[in-house]
Amino acid sequence: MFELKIDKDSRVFWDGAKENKLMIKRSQISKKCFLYSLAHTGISASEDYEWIEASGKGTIYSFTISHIPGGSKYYIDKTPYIIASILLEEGVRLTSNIISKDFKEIKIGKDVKVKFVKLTDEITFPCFVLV
Amino acid sequence: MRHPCIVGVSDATIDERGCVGADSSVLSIQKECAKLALNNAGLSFEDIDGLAVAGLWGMPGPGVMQPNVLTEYLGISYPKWLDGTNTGGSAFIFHLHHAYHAIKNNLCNNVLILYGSTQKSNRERNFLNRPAIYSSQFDMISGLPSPVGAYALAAQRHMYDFGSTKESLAEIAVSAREWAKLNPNAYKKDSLTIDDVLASQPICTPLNKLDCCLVTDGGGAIVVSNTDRKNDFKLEPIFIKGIGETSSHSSINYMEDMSVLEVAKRSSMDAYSMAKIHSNEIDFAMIYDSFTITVLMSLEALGFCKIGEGKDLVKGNNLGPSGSFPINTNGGGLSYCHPGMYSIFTIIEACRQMWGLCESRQLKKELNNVLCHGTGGVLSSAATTILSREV
Repeated sequence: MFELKIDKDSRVFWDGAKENKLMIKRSQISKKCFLYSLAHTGISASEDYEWIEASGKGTIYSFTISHIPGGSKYYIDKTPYIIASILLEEGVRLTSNIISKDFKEIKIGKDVKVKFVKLTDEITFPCFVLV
Repeated sequence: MRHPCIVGVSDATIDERGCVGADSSVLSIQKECAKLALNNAGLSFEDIDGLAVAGLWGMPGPGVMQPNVLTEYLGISYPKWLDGTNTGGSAFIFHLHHAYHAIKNNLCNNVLILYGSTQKSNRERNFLNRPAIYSSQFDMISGLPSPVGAYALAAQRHMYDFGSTKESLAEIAVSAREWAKLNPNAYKKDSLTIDDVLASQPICTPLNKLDCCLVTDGGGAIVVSNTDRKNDFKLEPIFIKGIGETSSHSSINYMEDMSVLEVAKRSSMDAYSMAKIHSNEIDFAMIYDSFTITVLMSLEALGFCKIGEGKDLVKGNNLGPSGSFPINTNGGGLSYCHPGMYSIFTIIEACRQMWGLCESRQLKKELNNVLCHGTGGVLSSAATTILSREV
């Protein structure tokens, strides 16, 4: 269903999600947080990092309601659904889903909190709901 | 000192289905385009000692080494310079920049930049079951359609930050269609209104079907030579006066600010600075229009208006044939053709306008400084070229 290939940079994230924990990385030098990519974080690739559990609180940075399936055949019978870039309070953005049937309620800037959704036996994904 | 210059271009003919001829391959398209471009340049395959190519063909397989495949297929004898830079749809403008440096520094003399695609004929476009790997793994697991969903996230944020609307985006699609009606080789030529765009199928809000580029076959070729050969040219050489290129991210989630196209700000600043001109001295621009939002954000980042004011610049079909800021006179990726990677066509059309070959869509003004801008990936990479009649 999903062709997810977990690697060194994402193993802890996916293992954590199975235990309903939203895991992100934090630089041990600057204490800034990131997930997977360093782009525009101000963190140098030479800095060591540690994994920490995020609070699970954030805001909607942007969103789209998709009327076509994307990414995986899993979504063929799921349209329309909401995909969002969530800005976590630790300053990290994460592409995820907002679970809601009321599309009109979804607005940039609104507060959200994490809700773990089991997509398959292997994959639990940190999704979000409006608070 | 010799100066690099563009001396020939061509694009593949597409039929009413948006396809190149039956049995055409990505390789045969590129050979035919190269032949035509060399012919209108006044040069031959034997003159070519540099080759640049990018595409989505042949992968997995020989396509991961496209410069080798084309060298072999075209029988180019031991080229001295090769470029396979792939930054998405912007790649061919990157190639032009790299060819400029290679020729200027005597690494080679005459370069072919090539592109071909049969994505429509072969139904190659597949948006599902992409591997969820690297930074896009979260996008793929959340079901973000690529690339349209990424552009939709940027469009939503742009609207939130600056008050641009779906009507602003629709204006861009309508202007593109107005131009396409004047291009005999354009795929979509039926009339189009703002209401048609707004009523078209929603894909990823706020983008509708008619905010998205076409899916067609296509191909093109550009010949870059140098002034040592000027007595051979059939057309007036077009010089490369300013160049700039950069990249920022691969997944849209890692774009610094989704409503400002920083890569285009930077690539154009470098190009203006090298050309020693300001954005208000550009006579005409060709801007890669993968989606309507791409144009809105590019216009702002290239300095044709302030950030957030693109909505005012596009109003009233202002980018169309009767507007005060005509762009994309071939009809663009929105209405002429979009074989997957489009930026080569921005250069092809810019040169044709400068040569006065555009017949009913020919701009009726002096074209001294012409800007071509390409976006690649999901607003990921950018390349800006300023073309000129003068060195």
